[in-house]
Amino acid sequence: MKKIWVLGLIFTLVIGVLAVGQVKTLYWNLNTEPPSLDPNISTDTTSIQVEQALFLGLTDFDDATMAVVPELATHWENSEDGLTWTFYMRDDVVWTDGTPVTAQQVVYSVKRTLDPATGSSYAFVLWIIEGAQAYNNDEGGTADGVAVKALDDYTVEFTLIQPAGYFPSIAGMWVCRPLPQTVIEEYGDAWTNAENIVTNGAYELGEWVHEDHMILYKSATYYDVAKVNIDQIYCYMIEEASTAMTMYEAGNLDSTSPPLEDMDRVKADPVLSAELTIAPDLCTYYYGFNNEKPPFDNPLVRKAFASAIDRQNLIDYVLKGEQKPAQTFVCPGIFGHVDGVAEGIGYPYNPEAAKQFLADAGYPNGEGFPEVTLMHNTSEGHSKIAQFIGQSFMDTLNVKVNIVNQEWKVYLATCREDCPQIYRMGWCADYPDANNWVNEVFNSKSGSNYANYNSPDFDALIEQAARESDPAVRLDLYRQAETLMCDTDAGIAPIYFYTIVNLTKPYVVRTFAPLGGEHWEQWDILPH
Amino acid sequence: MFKERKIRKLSERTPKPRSLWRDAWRRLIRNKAAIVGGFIIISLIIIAVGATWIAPYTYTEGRIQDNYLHPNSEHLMGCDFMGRDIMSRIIYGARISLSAAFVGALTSFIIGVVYGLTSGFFGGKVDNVMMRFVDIMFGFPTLILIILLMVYFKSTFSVIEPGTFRGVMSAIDRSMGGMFFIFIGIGITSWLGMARLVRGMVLSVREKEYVEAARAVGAPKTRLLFRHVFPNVLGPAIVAQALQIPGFILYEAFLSFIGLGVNPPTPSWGMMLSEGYVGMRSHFHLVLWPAVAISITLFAFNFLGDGVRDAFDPKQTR
Amino acid sequence: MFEFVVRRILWVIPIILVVSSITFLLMHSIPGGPFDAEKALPQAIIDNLNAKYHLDDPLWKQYVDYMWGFMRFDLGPSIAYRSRTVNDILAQQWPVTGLLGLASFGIAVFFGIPLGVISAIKQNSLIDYGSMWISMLGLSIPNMAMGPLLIWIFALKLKWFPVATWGTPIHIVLPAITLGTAYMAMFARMTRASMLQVVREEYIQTARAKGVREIWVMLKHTLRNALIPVTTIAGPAFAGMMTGSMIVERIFAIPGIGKYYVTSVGNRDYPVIMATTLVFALAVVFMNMLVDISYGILDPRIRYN
Repeated sequence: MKKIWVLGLIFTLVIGVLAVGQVKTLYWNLNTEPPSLDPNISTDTTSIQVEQALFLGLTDFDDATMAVVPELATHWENSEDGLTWTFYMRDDVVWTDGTPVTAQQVVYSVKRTLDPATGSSYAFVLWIIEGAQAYNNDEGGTADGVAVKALDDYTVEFTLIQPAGYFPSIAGMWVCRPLPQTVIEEYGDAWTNAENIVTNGAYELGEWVHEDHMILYKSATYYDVAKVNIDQIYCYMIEEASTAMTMYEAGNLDSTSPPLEDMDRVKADPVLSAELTIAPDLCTYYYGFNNEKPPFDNPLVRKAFASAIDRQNLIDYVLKGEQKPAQTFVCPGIFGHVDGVAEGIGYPYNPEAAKQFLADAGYPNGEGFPEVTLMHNTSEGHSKIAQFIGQSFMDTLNVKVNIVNQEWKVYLATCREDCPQIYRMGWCADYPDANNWVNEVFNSKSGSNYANYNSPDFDALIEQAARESDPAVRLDLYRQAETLMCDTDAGIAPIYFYTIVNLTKPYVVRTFAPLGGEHWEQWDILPH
Repeated sequence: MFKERKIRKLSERTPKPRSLWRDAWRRLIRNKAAIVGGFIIISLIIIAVGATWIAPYTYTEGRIQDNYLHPNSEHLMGCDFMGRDIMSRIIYGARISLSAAFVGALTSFIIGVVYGLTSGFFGGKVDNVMMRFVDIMFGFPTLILIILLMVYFKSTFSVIEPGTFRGVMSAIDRSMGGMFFIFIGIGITSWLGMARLVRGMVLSVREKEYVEAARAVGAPKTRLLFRHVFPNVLGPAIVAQALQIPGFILYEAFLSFIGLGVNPPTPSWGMMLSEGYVGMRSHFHLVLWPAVAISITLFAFNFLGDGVRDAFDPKQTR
Repeated sequence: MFEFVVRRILWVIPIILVVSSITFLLMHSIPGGPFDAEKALPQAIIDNLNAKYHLDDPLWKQYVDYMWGFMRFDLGPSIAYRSRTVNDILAQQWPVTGLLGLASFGIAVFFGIPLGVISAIKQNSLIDYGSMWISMLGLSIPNMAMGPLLIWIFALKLKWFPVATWGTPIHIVLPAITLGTAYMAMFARMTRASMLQVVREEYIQTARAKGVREIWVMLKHTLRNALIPVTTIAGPAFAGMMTGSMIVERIFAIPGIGKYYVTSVGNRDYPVIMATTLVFALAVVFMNMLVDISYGILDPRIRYN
């Protein structure tokens, strides 16, 4: 009798311990080793994802509506002329070392991003702040000249060079999140190592074995810790997409992006197809033309090629991710988006029209047309798309297209210095406004304008739209700009809008964040 | 008079200078595995040369709607991601792999033999310096050098500038589908062993009596080199080179796999392997056929190479 | 023996100099620099970063600075990964590749040599042909096909092994098999051929005539001498395995230096490229030296020469 009693007690204890000690762990794949966890210098999605969990910003995005919501800042206001923005911060947020998160740290972070010595690739989004560009470009500006200041411990004020209704979304970006100044000054570049790093987000960095894995633990000092369900996040770093897919199927990973080659099998499989989610993503894939290189300096030639891209077949057979064909540049979901397909802006697939354009340009049936180069950066995916579209060009227009691929760094250098006739590029949203797209990429002064698209009318339109406050006026200006660039001048040929294609285990209750990183603190894991 | 007769009889009894080759050939024929290997390689060469007549489709034609089709009556090996017939691409791909094998081997052979002959023949300080260089280069991991070289070639020579050196080289490379620099890369990184081997043989042959005799009679140095030294070096050199060929085929596959190989749509087996690799679990046939093709080719070259080596081995008594 | 080792060690110096200068020149000839990014940086910032990493110094000065640092074991910062130094990177990732290489080498030697011995003893039997064909299979199937195949069968379907990554001894098995089978085949064939050759030597016949048991004849006399030519391929085999790890590490998501090398070339992370190449070269040299020493141990003729 006694024995059964004792056994029963032990059994209950064990179950109890197991239940209480049930640690909810999310198994995630970061795809690659994050180059850095320093928010001021990060440019890639992997680093940004981890920083989303570790560092809080003044604002954040609502995943469903993409509206800007308060995070560190409880509310904000702007002045009459739209130039001065004031953010009022919470006073109960602390770092993992116990010190409070203050406005001075926001100022420090902004200035550090703009400091030319930091070498931040994303500093340009902050150029809207007065004095920022001069400081960042080392053109005589100083740190003190940057118009951001802490009015008190919990109030930050920004002064802009022109009104920008979208500024609150920029204020939440990783480049201006408050940073632990004392820690950075003490450890320098090594401040992001697991033993030194100090964070204030929902999760803290527990373990980081480079190139292998990272473990994030729920942060006990997070101001909203009660709402966080997942206790730890185990991040793998698996580069090979098919290996990740295998790990997902073996039950080691909770979420992955299936390679497009597996899409047919996934859709046909009863279990996998139920776990599949396809949602719009905020990126556009396009082929640009070097508007200054013959024969693409002739708009008719550009229009011919733009009309020879069979987008729907590309999406159905090559990409298989239910992407949307694109005839304009700014993608849906971003303010300023214009639906080119519905409104007839841009060039849909039309082989007859393509041939006609080419003939009008002086090359009937492709006669006399020189060999052209289509370049892309080395990748299986881009190679397949290039082969398909290249073949499409050759078949429709009867021209010879050489497909060349270059390694990413070389490719960027080539695009900058001697852009090929047709080049492949993509652009993803940093903040939800068309200014991030048409102005920052295709403004004739922009460093990313590899297409050398040089239209004073276009520049005028987008610069006016940047200054304008009335959304209706802005929308109209962007419509005119897109019409000019993608239709009248055919400066580039947009191809498709990306989608998020994702497999997630049914026991993970999750959201999809189109901008920034996933909000792991809002997810949950059901018993399984 | 006596002497003359003796000399004549002696010359009649001296074996013909090419008997080594005939012996080797006899031994090779008796090696069944090598025969099978040789047969396969000859078939591959026929397939490669006659690709335009044998292949049911060209290597670029295909309907995108057919993509990923599993093997059926129209496409015996199925279709790839663009709807192109895999069997035709494998047939054309034989050209690429065999070119990599033979031209790569030829390049490395020529460089190695010339280097080794020069070094061994001149001897002394020249030989010392040249061989020290080889010893040092042996320490350079081959794959690392080839990756660096290929990145360099691919990034420098992918321009369109008619008239300049860069432009011309790029055009040559493009017309060969991207193979040109792979050959050069393979050649540059593989001649070391050959050079060492040839130089060693030259040194030993130099001391042989018949060479001394020829020199005593007053034969010029070049005649020594070409009539006496070179033919004896040739046999083992060919054997050594043949044994390297499977490695070249693997190099090409490896380079195509990491993106430093041929340009699409050139159908190299390595390229097909890397294109199909990601979808391996869904569409196994994309990977199966190129892998089988590579494996059979490597099999054949390994067996033939072994057979050639055994055939030339003087210690063989069979 | 001692002076032999010393001489070999002295050889390391010219090797390092030549390998490093060739790598350095090639590296800097490749277009594209570490700061080329999609969101183009303003020229002022690029200039700043170049100054910070001394990339604006004349090439010869950069080389000298680097080699000077190398000799003091200071391998510099990583340009692409700002919070890590190259010393850290190598210290963390090199042992992983080393372990993988050792495991593969172990498989190659401990399975390959016995396979060759058995084949030689039972020459021309079914076992002989069977094992030679199987080892040929290992030699002919490229890594990139074998890896995923093994994962599919043994990890996904049979669940005997983990799919990928690193950490426990069981994670080593599939990658080591993928990497090692080609060399196992080489060792098997080499051992077999060598044994067949040695067995015809007269001293073997003498041993038999003396009445030594056949098994001893094979193992003690034949094998010992047969291993001599086999060790000649041990060096290149090891080098090959180190570099072959690039693909295997990528497929199995192993945090080694091979996978990292390709990334660093892509990133133009000059200090990492230099350091990795030099360390690989040193490993090859070291391995060759070990081979030569074991050659001397196995073959007394060399020792007494």
